[in-house]
Amino acid sequence: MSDISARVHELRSLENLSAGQTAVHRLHPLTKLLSAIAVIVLVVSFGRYDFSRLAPYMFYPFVMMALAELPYKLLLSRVLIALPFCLFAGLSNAVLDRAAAFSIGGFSVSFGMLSLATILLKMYLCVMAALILVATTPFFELTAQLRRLHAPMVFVMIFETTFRYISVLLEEAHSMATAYKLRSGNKKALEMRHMGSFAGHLFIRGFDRAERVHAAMRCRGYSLVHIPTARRRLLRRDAIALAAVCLPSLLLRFVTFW
Amino acid sequence: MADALLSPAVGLTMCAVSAAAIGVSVAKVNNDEFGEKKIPIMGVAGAMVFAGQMINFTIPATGASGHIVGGILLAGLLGGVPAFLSISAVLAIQCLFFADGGLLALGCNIFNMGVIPCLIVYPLIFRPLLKNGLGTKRLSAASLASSVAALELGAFCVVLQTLLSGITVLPFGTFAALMLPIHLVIGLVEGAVTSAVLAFVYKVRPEIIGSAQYGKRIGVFSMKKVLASLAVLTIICSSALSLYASTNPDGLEWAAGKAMGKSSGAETELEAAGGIYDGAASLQGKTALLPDYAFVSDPDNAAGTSLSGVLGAAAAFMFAGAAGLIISKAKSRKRANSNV
Amino acid sequence: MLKVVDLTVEYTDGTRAVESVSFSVEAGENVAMIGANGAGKTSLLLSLVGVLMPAAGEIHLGEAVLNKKNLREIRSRIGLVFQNPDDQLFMPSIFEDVAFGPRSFGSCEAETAERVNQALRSLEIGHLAARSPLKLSGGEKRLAAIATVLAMNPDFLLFDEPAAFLDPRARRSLIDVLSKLPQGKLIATHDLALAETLCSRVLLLQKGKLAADGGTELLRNAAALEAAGI
Repeated sequence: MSDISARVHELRSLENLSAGQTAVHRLHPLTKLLSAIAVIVLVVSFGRYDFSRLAPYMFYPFVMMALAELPYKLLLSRVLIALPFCLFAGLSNAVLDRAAAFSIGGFSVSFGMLSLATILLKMYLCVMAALILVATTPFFELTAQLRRLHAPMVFVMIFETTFRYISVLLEEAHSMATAYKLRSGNKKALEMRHMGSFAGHLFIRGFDRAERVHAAMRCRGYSLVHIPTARRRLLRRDAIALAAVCLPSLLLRFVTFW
Repeated sequence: MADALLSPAVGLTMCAVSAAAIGVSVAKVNNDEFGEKKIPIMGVAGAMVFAGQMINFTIPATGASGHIVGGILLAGLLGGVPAFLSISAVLAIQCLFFADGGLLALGCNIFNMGVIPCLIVYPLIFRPLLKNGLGTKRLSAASLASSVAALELGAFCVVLQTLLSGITVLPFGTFAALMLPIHLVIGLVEGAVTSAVLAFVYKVRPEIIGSAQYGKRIGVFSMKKVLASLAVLTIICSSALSLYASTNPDGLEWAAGKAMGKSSGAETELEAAGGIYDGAASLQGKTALLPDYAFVSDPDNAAGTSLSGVLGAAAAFMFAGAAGLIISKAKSRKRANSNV
Repeated sequence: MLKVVDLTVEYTDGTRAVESVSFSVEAGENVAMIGANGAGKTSLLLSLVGVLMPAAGEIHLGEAVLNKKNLREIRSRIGLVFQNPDDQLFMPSIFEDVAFGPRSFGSCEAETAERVNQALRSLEIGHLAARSPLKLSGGEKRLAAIATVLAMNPDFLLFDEPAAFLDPRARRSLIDVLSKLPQGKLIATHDLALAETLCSRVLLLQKGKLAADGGTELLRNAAALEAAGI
């Protein structure tokens, strides 16, 4: 069950990072959102074997992490979560697609291996782009931006409450699991036959909490108010940052240098 | 589903479809007089499922351990539309904060794990099975059937989305033969746990499940209409995107590749991948629904296929790393100076 | 003045949580409400802001009598601080959370910001404005929860176990903060020392009924406390 507390820690560590004060943190959230989306869509649009054309995109994570003073280790460890499924797909390519693409010093590299490397590189770049976005943008700025973009109020509100209560309910699940463990002879996981009442209790507690949260909201006049969000202008530095990310990315995508 | 296995056309199409499903659901909640009351409940319920997913349990007789996904469970507790919105929020948070999936793959993930269990399986299987009253046995049957159906359908969609993206060369049959049995087992386990949890909640607090099933529910809307409009949206988006893909950037490469004729690489690859590719490629030719790189690989133009390509890539890695290092160093020096 | 006349509160299943209770709290007066677990303290507080509607009896706030139509107004004038701050802090940042009330009641942005800052300043937690509730200590969460209510400029404050989960130091500073707030207060608590320090009157609740209503000497009346299960 240690993964429960690990998850709480993960959530908090990203929240802490997002409170930083670097130039990247100070950018408009829209700038960061658009950069991340641009990088992801462009990276994904490369072909199956375009490993070497993708390589220059590594500048994005490296430079951004350095500018935003993000710890390499923490973000790198996150990338591993996305690994299993990508690795499965990539390895199956390596097995099936054995035609030699080229050889380096007598060692022949197959198309499948090339595509495996490409998938892993794409995975790394996409995951990093998303992580850099949340590690440099506090959650409330992100949802404020969603409001500015006229995302449906209902959904933004659900998004916010979910985020807010994840750590609260994770802690509740964690202490329940600890209590279970202490009385079960140190089992690593629950027995499946106990899941009904265990998860059932957790869910009923969740429902009761939801009722209390709703009561707390009502006490403060809650109705679907349109929460006004302070306008935030895009500054010159945002335009420069966006251009600095997008122009080279576009150039690398549409012009073949090697 | 992960970003790295998607093509932009498939990824963006699924994003549009999922966004439309969210839009419709939000409209349903807005139009319902109790919808507003359910918003904090949907938020906390999302967090609840997230916490539930973290609880590992051992699967009897296997020694393996698993966790629940929770789509059908949440739909059973809240009703289809609210459950869908909760799950979507959870998936968005997982993609952003836990690197699960990815931003582009979010559309696929919301579709596979949200739309399918909550908006398709729940109204078509779960609710009809409970039409004649609640009860532990009926709840179990409904949970089991719905969970299996939801996971199998979801897995099938993952296979389709991956293959349509053309990143893997796994033949359709093999891929499906791998994914479907695994998800049958997962579905049975999920169904067993879902029915146990629902039975427990039903015993302790019957009103929760009763109000989800029979209360003033939100989201009673014609499934036919919704499915039809989602299908239309899929077609419009994918054709628009593939039109773009085939006339624009890749169009160039594709034309260049064609001019050079079929290369040996392409031939061997098609052989290796088996007949499905011929079929798919000809289907592609007929419909032009998919971007070219999905099926016709073009190794001559895939650039990196040479020593110089590899060297270039290595140099790019090194320069990128060095750039990061230099900036970090410069920053820490600046900080040290300002502290003095 | 907040006045309760013959108040009865029932749960949806019909059990009575509060039974014919009458009392009043003057403007600026601090009243403690003590009673064993399950005596009906929380239900009584919830009914005063109309989260649970009275099954019988009336709740007067000045001239107004609480009913479905004036809920909004009553809620802007009576602020309830929940037992668990995690139930009350539901927005992504403290500023947004404290602003939630004023915004819901239709304040413009400038006024909202002014009220938020004032509420945070009066509790000396202005530095927490941009923080997420995830990262606050128990004591900070408690003060932030109080700020969310203060920002609505209520006449009366209701507290449900304000000292629960606090360490001794956070508890002392909470008592200090509460004693400085000018509003009339009704404080449900098990913390008899806190009640004695802050309040001039004590209500003793026993199985949903009002067993005693008197001065702080009640807190030292061992026989009465024992009978009420404390």
